[in-house]
Amino acid sequence: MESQSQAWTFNSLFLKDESLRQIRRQIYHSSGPGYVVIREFFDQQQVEHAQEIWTSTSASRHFEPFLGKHQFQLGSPNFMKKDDRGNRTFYNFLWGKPLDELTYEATFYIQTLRNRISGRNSSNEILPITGNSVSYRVVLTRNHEAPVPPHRDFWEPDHVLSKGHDLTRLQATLMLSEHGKDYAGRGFALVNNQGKKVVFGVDEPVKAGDLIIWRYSNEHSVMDIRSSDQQLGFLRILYPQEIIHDNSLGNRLLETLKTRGSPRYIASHLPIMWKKRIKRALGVNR
Amino acid sequence: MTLRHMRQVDLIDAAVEHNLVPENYFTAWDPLCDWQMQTLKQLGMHPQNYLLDIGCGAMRLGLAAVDYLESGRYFGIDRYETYIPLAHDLAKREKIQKDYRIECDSDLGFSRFGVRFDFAMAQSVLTHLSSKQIELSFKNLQPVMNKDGKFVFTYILGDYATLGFLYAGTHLMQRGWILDEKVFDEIAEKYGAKFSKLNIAHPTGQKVGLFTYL
Repeated sequence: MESQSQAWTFNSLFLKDESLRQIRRQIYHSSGPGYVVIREFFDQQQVEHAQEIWTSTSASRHFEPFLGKHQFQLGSPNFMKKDDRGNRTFYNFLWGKPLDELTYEATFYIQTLRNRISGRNSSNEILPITGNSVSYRVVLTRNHEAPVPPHRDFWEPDHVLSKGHDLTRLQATLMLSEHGKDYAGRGFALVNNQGKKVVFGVDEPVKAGDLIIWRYSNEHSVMDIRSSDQQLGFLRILYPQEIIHDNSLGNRLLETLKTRGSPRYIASHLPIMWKKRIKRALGVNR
Repeated sequence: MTLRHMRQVDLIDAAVEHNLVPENYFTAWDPLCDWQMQTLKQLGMHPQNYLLDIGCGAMRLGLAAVDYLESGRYFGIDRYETYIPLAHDLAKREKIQKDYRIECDSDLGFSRFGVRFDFAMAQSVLTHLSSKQIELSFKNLQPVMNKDGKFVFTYILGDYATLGFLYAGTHLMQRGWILDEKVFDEIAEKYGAKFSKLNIAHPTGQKVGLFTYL
């Protein structure tokens, strides 16, 4: 009984640096590929469950329309973006009621693992204590020429003291479909640590259920996705550490102004006390 | 040749080989190293001086300082044990021939070297110490500093919401409040030094203080 309880101490539960040595080497060392593939992170049953949930026609009922990242505030709802070609993106946060508990649960494990690989506390950015918070973004690309043009994140070599230059940062992609079977075209590509472009599903075999943890500052893209009516499309989950905006009254009004744009709309939503003060300040009597 | 001329990819590879990640400590290596060396030289450090590098890390200052100082004049101490073998590795890669000494010590035991120093530096170290540890560092410095010796340190004025923290996600550390610089006047008086604020811009905006030993 005593030895069993030893398995549940803080030290035994904590992901230790030593256990991450090989993964860190693969991701960060110039001789490594710049990514690691964790095979069958989701098993077949879990993959099928997630595919069914996130492609369900009723999924979108529980999401607010996505208008821009300025909407991301602590306590904000989950958002969704879609187009007439069947492409959909679900922006989910940990404070919102999840559409799928499996997807939600997995986010904690993926965030913890990513945090520890990158030398951070396990709990980092689960809540927006430092201003950023992990989100789980479910993306279904069915047909699109350039859903994610090539770019690098956390890469500002001319500003090495800036938080915008952070070579420890990682992104994770949980694949929920398979190149060739569920979609055609190019797909997800990453420039590896030797400067060579690797297309997942082509140059590096990956299947639905595999988790790819990759270096965020390496150039990456998702290009030229094509799928027929009989195919699922390119379904995956990303875990961006979104900037969570201040949700104070003043900021909410500012964001509303940006979103809605109409001064009349703003005026109709201003508290009466504010209206009086603004009128007084402007010398308006009516 | 100093490490400042080393390619960053080589520096990161060395860090990763010691199971460290390419954190800001490594990616901002050059500007911080330059600032530390320039500051010490501005304060009058010359190659014959003895230097104590408190929080020496992987010898970001150390490699340049060893290069500049005469052999056997550089001493470093750090609480984070992972940095010590990495520092030796970097010194080897940089083909450092001169003698230097670095130790892992969480008790701020500066007397372990049996040397009296002309200069000491703690760059972004007080920001990683509790109030008790800050006072201990000044206390332990007094017997090892030469008369007219200079201890230059950086600090942040203000309150912290988080006092206990995990350095690199694992290593237990604390922070102390420095709400008013008067605290340095009081400590200086207690441990035989004179405190002055230096009007030197720091790369990350920290304030710079100087103890001159009487």
